[in-house]
Amino acid sequence: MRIAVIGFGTVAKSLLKVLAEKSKLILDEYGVEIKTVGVFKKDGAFINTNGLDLEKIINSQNYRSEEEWVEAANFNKIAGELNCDCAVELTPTNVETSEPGLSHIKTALGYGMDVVTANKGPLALYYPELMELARQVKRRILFEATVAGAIPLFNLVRNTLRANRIISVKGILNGTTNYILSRMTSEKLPFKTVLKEAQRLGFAEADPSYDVDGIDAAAKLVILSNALLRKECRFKDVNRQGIRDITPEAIELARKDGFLIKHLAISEDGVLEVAPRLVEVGSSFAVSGSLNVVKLQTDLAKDLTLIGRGAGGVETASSVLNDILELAILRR
Amino acid sequence: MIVVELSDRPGQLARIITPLAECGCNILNIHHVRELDREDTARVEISFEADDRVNVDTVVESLRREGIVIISYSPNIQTFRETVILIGHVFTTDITDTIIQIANSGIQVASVDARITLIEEVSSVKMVLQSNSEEKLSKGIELLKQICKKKNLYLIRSVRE
Repeated sequence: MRIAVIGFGTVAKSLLKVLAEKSKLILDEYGVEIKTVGVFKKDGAFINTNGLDLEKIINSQNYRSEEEWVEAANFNKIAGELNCDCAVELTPTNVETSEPGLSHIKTALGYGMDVVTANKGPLALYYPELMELARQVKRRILFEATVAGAIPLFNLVRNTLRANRIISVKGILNGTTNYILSRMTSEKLPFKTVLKEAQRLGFAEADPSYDVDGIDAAAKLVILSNALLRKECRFKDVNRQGIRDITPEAIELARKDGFLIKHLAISEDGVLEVAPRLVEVGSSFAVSGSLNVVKLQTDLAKDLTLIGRGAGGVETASSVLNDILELAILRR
Repeated sequence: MIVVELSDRPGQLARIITPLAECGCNILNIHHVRELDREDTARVEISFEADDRVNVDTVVESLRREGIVIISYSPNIQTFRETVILIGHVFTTDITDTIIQIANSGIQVASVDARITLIEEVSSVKMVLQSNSEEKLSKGIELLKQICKKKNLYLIRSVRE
């Protein structure tokens, strides 16, 4: 299996590290040899059609001086020369244009590559179109890492809930807002104070709107609804309400009756919504800290609840790697 | 709810408790309706709850087998409720009007609780909305959504598990 990794952020670096560490195990257990032939950064790429030395790339102090570095190499331009089976698209999410991820995915499919992605943008905006394109060229797009990081959802439904109809999906899909609400509850502090603390600790971005206004959760909900509920929908179809207006007094009122306030993403009866909701203290949504939780309602298996890490480099890389292996096994 | 007629002597109430328990009913309330008593009989109303598998006809049948006179019976009336919290200028936007509008739509505002900060600051109000029909309750919630939009209040609903 020859792969190209596009993007060089936390998830990409973790993936390269895990690939280097697990290559022997992957070969022994699954009989799959994964060769990384390209790693694309913003300003160029490491290219070796015989397979790159991943340890060297991760530890490189001055990457431009590496012999495999090709200045200004762009995936869309040189994809045809890579003789690659699978493009791993890990560039940052953009919910306005979905670029550069969208072009990368289209290019990869155009050259007959399968695609694995952790980038929510292209699927949140163009899920139906991209799946149709993949179908036309008889290739696959796998995207386990786009929603709830390490928690297997799409694989779970595809491989172990076959013939089940998914009736609804409800969950906490953003760890940052869950952290903020958990701290507001335990410390009785206002939103702004906890946000500053989260930014200081690196749990929230300098521009927090992506998380606290529910943009990230809405993008994930769109992907879940398309893929699991078979509902053709787009980012703009989500009713979205953030958590900026929640006050410690409201949390206290909720607590008095045994409720917590959680930022939930819900796809049910054709309606997609991301909003704060009251959940009972003992309920499956009452997870604290930065954890994610997803509850699937199905016709045969009934209710399933999954809790796990929704972010983190290695956790997300776990999902990406599993998708790569699934494609490698299918290609044999 | 089941209304029965018992002879007005000691130990009669005990006769109805065992069959109910055997049917899996949990007794919520027993009410002796004295104004309906005749010379030697007592009218008793029994409210109970049970899960969906218990049929009220089966319960009535088992009481009849005990020789108890059934005057009337009806399935338990279920109550649907949802707790909501409103955040914003709930008082300057007339909370009484908000409550009256909801009540006029045919659902009950079962309780109201508030956290008041300074009048010019945002406050929070918690309400429990209640109805005997799920549909009515959803309509009431829809109305509340519209009111909140108009009054620029932030609405937090409960989630159904």
